Amino acid sequence: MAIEPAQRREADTPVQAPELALPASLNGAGASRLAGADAGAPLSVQLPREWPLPGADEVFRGIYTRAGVQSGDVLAVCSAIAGEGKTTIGVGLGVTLAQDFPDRHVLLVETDLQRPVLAADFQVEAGPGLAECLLNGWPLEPAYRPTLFDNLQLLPAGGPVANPSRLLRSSRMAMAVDAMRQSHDVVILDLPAVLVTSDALLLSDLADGVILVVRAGVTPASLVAKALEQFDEDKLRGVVLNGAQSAIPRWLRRLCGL
Amino acid sequence: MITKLVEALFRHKLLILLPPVLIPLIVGPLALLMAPVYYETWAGIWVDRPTYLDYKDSWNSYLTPAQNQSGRLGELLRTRSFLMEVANRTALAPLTASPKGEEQFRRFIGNGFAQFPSGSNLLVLRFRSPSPQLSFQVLKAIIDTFNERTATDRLNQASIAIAFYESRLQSAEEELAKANDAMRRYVAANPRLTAIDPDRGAAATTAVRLGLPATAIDPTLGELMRQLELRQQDAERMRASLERARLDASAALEGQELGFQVVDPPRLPTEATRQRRRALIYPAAGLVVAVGFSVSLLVLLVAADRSVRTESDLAPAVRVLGVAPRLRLRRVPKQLGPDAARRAIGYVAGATLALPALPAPKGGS
Repeated sequence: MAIEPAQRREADTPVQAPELALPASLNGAGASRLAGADAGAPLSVQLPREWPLPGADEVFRGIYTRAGVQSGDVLAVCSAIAGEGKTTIGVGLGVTLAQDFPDRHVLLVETDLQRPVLAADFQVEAGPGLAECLLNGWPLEPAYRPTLFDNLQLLPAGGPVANPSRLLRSSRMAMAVDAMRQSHDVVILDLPAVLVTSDALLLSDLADGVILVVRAGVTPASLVAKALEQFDEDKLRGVVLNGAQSAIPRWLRRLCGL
Repeated sequence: MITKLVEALFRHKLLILLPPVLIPLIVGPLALLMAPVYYETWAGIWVDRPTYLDYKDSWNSYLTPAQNQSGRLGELLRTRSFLMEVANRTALAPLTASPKGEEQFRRFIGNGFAQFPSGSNLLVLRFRSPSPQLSFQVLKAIIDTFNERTATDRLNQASIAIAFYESRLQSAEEELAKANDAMRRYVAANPRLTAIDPDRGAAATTAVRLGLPATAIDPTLGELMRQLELRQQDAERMRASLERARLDASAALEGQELGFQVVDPPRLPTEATRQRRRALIYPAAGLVVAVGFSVSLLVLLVAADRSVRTESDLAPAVRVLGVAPRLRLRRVPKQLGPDAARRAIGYVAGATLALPALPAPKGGS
């Protein structure tokens, strides 16, 4: 069943207060890092919690709408090569979905165990993460990191492990995805680059749909075609062109209709 | 394709526009510095036709006097004899000794000499050379040679015309003398034509008696009389033509002085100048080359760019879910690097942007 757009949360609109108090749901070491020394203390940053670019949320809204994201979906976001912005798109999708559907629980899972970034971005503890849970057979729930949104959680990749590929190919990973599917309405898997490691292909089999991110002006068309060949046509929801920007000045585009 | 070219032009604008800007800027001063130094000698010639002297010449009445004289000088400069005559008046005379030297001198004149008809009557001559003495010598030699050559030509033409009319006059006078002799002999052989009647005096010739002119009663006499008159007329005409030819020759020689007056004689140049043409042509050529290079580079960049840039590069092979624009994060510290966009999006949900704290945006309280 497709998710019906809900009313936008208050958090969707720019928050005018220069200092934000942490929500009660945000706790733990990561929260204390995010907040400073004391949980509940004002944030050190003084930006309103607004989208960095007007209209960017609309872009992600369009992506999940066209991708046909449904409740209970496990969506894999991957790219042909590294550095194409798949994590950015994954985070954007997670945030937008959480904003637009407050009653749905969204989980953002970082599966790129070799290049983890989410923990650093959200200033939360790197471990325990997905790697530790898979390695030790721990339950996933304690590893979920809260965010400013009650319905958005993160599962960082975790600390460095000896053989990440073996972990991702294990049956524990499949069971972990099943557990995530049970506990959350939408699970977004941030996959490694498909042409760099074969883990991505294996993980995409566990997902219901795949979104391929292509960095505009960077990824050669031949690599995009090669990456597309890797996925099952039924699972491929589509391609997101990331970082597209016309170098032609706006006035010229308007003048010449380019 | 055009969109791709324009896109590539703006994307690599520095790379594309730098050569057309940089190359002329480099070539211009270099060309100016390396342009050869030369000396110019100038002369002003006043060209006119005497109003009150009437003589025929080869001038084109549709051109100004300056243009006529300029054309004549230009034609003469294309002749070998004129050039050699000029060369023999200068320090470059030894060049005329060999065909190679002659060719060198011809090129030297071709490169250095210029004439500019300025207005109807003023003809400005210029000679440019690396040596001031040579510049002065050559221009002076050209003017002198042209003047002398023109005068000589006119004199020769006048001489030929006078000689022609003199010979014609001589023949006419000889014919007249012959006709006169024939007449005299005939009259002497026919005394009746002049016989005098003792009773009626001098008027008693046969013709007079009959009341008719003598020629009427003697056809031969009439014919001789007619021949004599014709010869006299011929002689008179030739005499008049000779007089006119002499007058024309005199007028032409006088007119030559008016037709080519050196009002500003050449003077030894004292200051050297640089060739402006090279200083302009080289940067212009550099600009053309640079533009060509930039265009080639642009085409090459477009042809070599295999990356996916727009939605149309993907569609219709695959379904494009969306196009995420490049985020312009003006308030985000540069230390964040390529992670800035991701962190900025995650910031909405609690991700940190950077430490230390960022300044508050305008309008935010």
